[in-house]
Amino acid sequence: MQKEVRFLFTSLCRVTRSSDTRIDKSSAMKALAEALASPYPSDNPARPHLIDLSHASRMYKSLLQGGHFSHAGNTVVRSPAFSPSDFASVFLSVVGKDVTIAIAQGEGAFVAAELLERIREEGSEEQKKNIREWFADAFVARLKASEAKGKNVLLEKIKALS
Amino acid sequence: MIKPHVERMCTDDEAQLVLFTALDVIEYDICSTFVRILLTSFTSDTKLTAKSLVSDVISHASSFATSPQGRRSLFHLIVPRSRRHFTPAQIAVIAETDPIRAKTSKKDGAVRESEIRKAASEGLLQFVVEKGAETTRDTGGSLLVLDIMLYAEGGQVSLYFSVSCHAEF
Repeated sequence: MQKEVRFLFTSLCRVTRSSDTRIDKSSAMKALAEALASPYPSDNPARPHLIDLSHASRMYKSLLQGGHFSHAGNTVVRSPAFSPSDFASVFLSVVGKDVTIAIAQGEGAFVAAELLERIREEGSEEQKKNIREWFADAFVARLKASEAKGKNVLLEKIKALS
Repeated sequence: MIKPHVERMCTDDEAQLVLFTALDVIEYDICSTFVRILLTSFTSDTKLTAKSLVSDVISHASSFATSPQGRRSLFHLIVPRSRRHFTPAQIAVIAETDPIRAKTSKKDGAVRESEIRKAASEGLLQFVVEKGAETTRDTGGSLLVLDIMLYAEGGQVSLYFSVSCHAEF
């Protein structure tokens, strides 16, 4: 037993630490953002753009919120294992201006509204500046003239960001 | 004994409850010598369970994502007993073994769940990378992708501790 104790206390102090497998959500975030980055609307009626599928839209909105909405508490219950601001950053860089503006004027107004909210609350100053340029006065005028579902929520978020 | 049947069990409403119970309660004998106990602390019973059963379930994630039963098997790895995906009746059946487990297992249920979630996370996130976009087109699939993203362990480097042994006897 004494040998085992010496073995333990003299040898186990050297613990080397090396990265093994990186479990990283950024690759998964990028994959989901890339799925949105195709031109909107889709030119193939048999394969609508993801944002035109209501369940997919809800998924993206929940990712930008960072959790599920709880009707009991009337609030979003954030998951500690997920960063919605990281996803918003990936969204901005992967989906880009043109498609984001297009989906915001289409069936994606609620998703765009949540994106703006996330950037307003947790984004960098540069991200806020960029997104203000995307959703500038010309876009606001077009949105007001449209019948897009969720346009009032989006207009409210654009105003909050300015 | 159940390993050859994991895929079929995962897609059966009744059989999958057996699998869930297995993940909840399987124990392994811990060796009695001090050094072996120390070494097995790096590979405890839950981690051994995770390596076998969990990896078998994850390997079929693509096919499981297409059915409610299969998705439930995947949900159990990351959000076990969640009322969003399990009925009160199913949760009650799974919970029947909780009193027995409390008497026979040293491990807290929450710790066990966390270890299984950690073991499943990499495979599930890889599934999202490869098949997430297509899976999202399906109503049930979008819920699966969402919960994997929200609750799988990710965003940090997993550490592998190696012990260098300089025996001084």
